[in-house]
Amino acid sequence: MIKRSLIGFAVPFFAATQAGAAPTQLYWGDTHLHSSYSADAFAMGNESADPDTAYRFAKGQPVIHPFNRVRVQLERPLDFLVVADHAEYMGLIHQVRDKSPLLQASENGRKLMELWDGTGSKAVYHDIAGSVVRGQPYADLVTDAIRTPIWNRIIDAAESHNEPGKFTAFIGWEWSSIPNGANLHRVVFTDKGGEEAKRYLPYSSITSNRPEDLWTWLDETSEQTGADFVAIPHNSNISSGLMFNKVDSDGLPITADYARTRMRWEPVAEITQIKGDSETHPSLSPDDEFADFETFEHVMTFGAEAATDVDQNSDYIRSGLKRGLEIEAETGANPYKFGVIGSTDSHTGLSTASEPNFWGKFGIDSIPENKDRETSPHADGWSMSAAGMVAAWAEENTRESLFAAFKRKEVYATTGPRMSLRVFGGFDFNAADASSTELAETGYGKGVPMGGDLSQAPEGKAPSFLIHAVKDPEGANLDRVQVVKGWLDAEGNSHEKVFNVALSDGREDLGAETRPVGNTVDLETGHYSNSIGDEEFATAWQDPEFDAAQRAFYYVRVLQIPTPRHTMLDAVALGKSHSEVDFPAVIQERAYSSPIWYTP
Amino acid sequence: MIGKLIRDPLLHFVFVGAALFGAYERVGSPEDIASENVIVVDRDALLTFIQYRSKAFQPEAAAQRLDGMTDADREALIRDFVREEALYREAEALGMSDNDYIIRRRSVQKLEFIAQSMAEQVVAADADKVRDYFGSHRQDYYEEPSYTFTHVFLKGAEAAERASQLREELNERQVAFSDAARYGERFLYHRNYVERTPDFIASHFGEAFRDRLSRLAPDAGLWQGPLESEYGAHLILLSEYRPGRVPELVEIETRVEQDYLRFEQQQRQELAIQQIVEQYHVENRL
Repeated sequence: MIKRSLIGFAVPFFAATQAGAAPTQLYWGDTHLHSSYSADAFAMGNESADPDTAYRFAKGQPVIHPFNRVRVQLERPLDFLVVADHAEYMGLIHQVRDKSPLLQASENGRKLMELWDGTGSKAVYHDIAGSVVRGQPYADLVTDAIRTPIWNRIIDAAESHNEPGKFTAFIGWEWSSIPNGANLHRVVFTDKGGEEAKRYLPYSSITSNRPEDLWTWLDETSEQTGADFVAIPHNSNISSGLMFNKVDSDGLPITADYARTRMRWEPVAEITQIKGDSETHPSLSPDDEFADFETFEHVMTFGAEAATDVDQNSDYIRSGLKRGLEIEAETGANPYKFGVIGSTDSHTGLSTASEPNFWGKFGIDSIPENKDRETSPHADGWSMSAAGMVAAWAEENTRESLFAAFKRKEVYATTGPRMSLRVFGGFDFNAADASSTELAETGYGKGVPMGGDLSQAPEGKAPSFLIHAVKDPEGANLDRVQVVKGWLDAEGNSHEKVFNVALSDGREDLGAETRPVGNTVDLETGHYSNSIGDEEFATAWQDPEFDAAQRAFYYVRVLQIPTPRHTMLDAVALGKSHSEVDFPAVIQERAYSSPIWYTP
Repeated sequence: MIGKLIRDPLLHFVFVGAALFGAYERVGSPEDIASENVIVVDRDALLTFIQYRSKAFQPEAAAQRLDGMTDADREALIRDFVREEALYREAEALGMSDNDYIIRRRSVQKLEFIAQSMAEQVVAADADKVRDYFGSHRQDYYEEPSYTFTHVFLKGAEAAERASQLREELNERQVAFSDAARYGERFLYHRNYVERTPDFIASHFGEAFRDRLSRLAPDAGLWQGPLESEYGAHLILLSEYRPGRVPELVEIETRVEQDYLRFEQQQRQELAIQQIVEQYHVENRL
C-alpha cells in the first residue's frame, strides 16, 4: 500500500497578507519591455512611448497610448522594470526622423533621411532590418558617436525613475541575435547605475551573433567597470532548435567550460511572453494534458529559409532542463540549470499582461479591428498571448536586492495574473509546516527556496516540498497545484512526470482522469465567476518515487480556473461569434516556479 | 601518384582557380563588353555565380543545382546575376575601383575565401594525428575545479566570534549537510553550492572568500571556518572538491577531432597563401 502523498490544507487567508514579518517580500515586474527606441516598435505604431513613458506607465501614471492615443493606466503599478530596447540601430529611427546632425556626416544616414521623406518610417525600418538580415550592417550608422546619445537617454530615464524602496528601474537592452531566423535573443540588464553604464555601449548582434561572444563581452565589461549582468534568453519556442542545443555555436558538443560560462551569465530563462509559452510542447510531453498552452511556432524567418529537421527538445524549457541533467552527467557541468521568469516583450512601451487590459504586442494590433494584421512573420494579433510577468522574492525593492534574487533564481513566472507562490525544498517538511502561520520562516529554516540545490539526501529520506499558492487578490480562483519532476536514469536518459499535489473543490487525484475544474465563462458577456476553484493551497508534498542516486529537478505549476482570453473579449466587442476567431475562447492562466535541483 | 594528386587540396585550389578564372575569361572581361552594354547570361556564367554564392567550388554540384531549379528560381538567379554584373560594371566605369582600398581588401578576401573552401575539403582525421594534436594542445581542454559545500552564515557585530562558538556546536551535534538551513541567518544567495566553480563562488561571495575556500580540505563530516566574505562569516561543510584537470582523450574525442580538423584546415590555408606570397620577391626599401 503506497501512502498517498497528496496533502491539502486550508489555512487562514490572512496568513499570506501578514507578509510584513516574512524574510522576503514579493515584487512584480517586467524585464523585457520595448519602447519607441526599438526600430520595429517604431515602425509598427509606437513613435511616442519612449523609455521615460515606459517607466511612468509602469509606476502607475496615466500616459497616452502611442498608437490609438487614448489615456491608459495601470491600476496596479509594477515594482520594477527593465526597458530592453534592441541594441541593433537603437533609437536610429528617432534620429532619422529628427534629422539628427550626427547623421549628416554619414552616407547611409543621408540615404535613410531621404527615404523617410519619400516613403516614411516603415521603409526606413525595412531598409535597416534588411541590412542586418543580409549580414551587411551599415558601419557608418553604428558608430559610438551615433549610439552614445541614445544609450545615455535610456540610462538617464532609468536613473531618474529609480527610487530605492519604492520602484526599481534597471538599465538594460536586448541583444537580438537571429541567425537565419532562429531566435537566440537575450535581454541583458545590470545591477549598477548610470555611472557604470556610461562606460560601455550595449553589446549588439551586429558585433557578433554568437552567445559565446556575448558572454566574453559581459565578462570583460564586468571586469572593467565593476557592473554585474544577467542575460535572459527568450522565445526558445522559435529558436529553430538552437536555444537549448546539444552543441555550441561551432556545432561542437557542449563542454563543462561552456556550461559553466553560460550559467555564470544566464541564471534564468523566459518561459512565457506575448509570442507564446515555452514551457513544453504537446509532442514532447504527450502525457501532460496541459502541455498545449499558448503554443506559438511562427519562426521569424524574414525571408531566410526555415530550418528543417529541428530538434524540438532544444526549443522548450522543460526539455532543456532535462537535457541539462544529461549533459551534466556526461561532462560534469549543467549548462541548463536555470530558473524561470515571465515578461511581456511588448513593443508599445506599456507593460500590460492581463487579458482584459492588454494593449498589444505592437501599437497597431492594440485595437480589435487590427488583430488581423500580420505584425510578426506569419503571426497576427489573434495569435499573440496577453502574457508575461516576473515575480521576485527579495528583501527590499532595490536594484541590489532584486538583482540578487535573479542570481539565486528565487524568481518565478506567471502568464499575467499575480498569483503568489512560495516553494521550498528540503528533507523534513511535513503537513504541520503547511498550516504554520510562519510558513516562509519554516521554509527558509528547514530547506532551500526555489532556485536552490539539494544534495546528499539523508539515509532513507526523500525530498519534500513546502508549497504555498494564493490566487491573484483581484483575479480568478485556482484549479490546482502540480509538481513537474525531471530526472536522469542510470543509462543517462532523462524522464519527466507531472504530479497533481493539490486540487480545488475537494476533488480526488486520479492523474489524467482527474475531474476538470469546470468553466464559468459566459461566452456572450466575457464574465466568469469564482464559484469554482480554491483561493489558496498550502501543502507539503514528498516525492513518492525518489531515488537518491539519480539527478533530478522539481518545479511547481499552478493553474487558474478558466477565464476569457483577450481574443474572446475582442470577438465579443467586434460582434463576431467566437467560432469566427480561430483561437480558444478561454485560457487557464498559470504560474511556473523556478526549479529546485537534487544532485546525489 | 595520380590518386595522390587528386586528393591534394592545394592542387584542387590551382585547378579550380584556373577553371573559375577561365570561365570568367570566356564570359569576357567587363571592359570589352561594357561598350556594347550587353550582359551575357550563359551556363558558364551562372555556374560560376552559383559557386561564389554558395561558397562551394564544385562545378558538378553547381550544375546539378542549376539543372534542378524551377523556372522561377532560375529567373531569380539570373536577376541577381544581372543586377550584380550591371552594378559592378557601372562602378568600374566610374573608376570606383582605382586605388580603392576596399576593393583591394575584397580581392584579397576573395582569394583567401577560395583557399579556405579548398582547405575545408580535407575530411579524414587520422587517429595518431589527433592524439599528437591533443598532446600539444592539452591546456585548451583544461576544466576548472569545482566545490560542493553548504554553509551557515552569520552577520553583524562579532560574527566571526559567534561563528567560532557555533562551529563547536555544529561539530558536536554532527549537523548534516541537509540540516544546515536550521542554523544561522539568511544569506543573499544560496544555502547549498553543488559542483560550482571558483569563479561562480567569487561572483556570490567575493574573491577573498574564494581564495580562503581554496585552502580548506574537503571533509563531509567536519564544519570548518569561519571564512570571512564580503557579507559576514561562514561556517563551511565542504563535502567535495574536484581539482581542475585535463580530461582523458577518450572522454572528449569528438571535440578534439573537430578541433584538429579545423587546425589542419587553417594550416593548409596558410600554406596555400604562403605559396602565393613566395612567388613574389620583396624589395624592402625602408
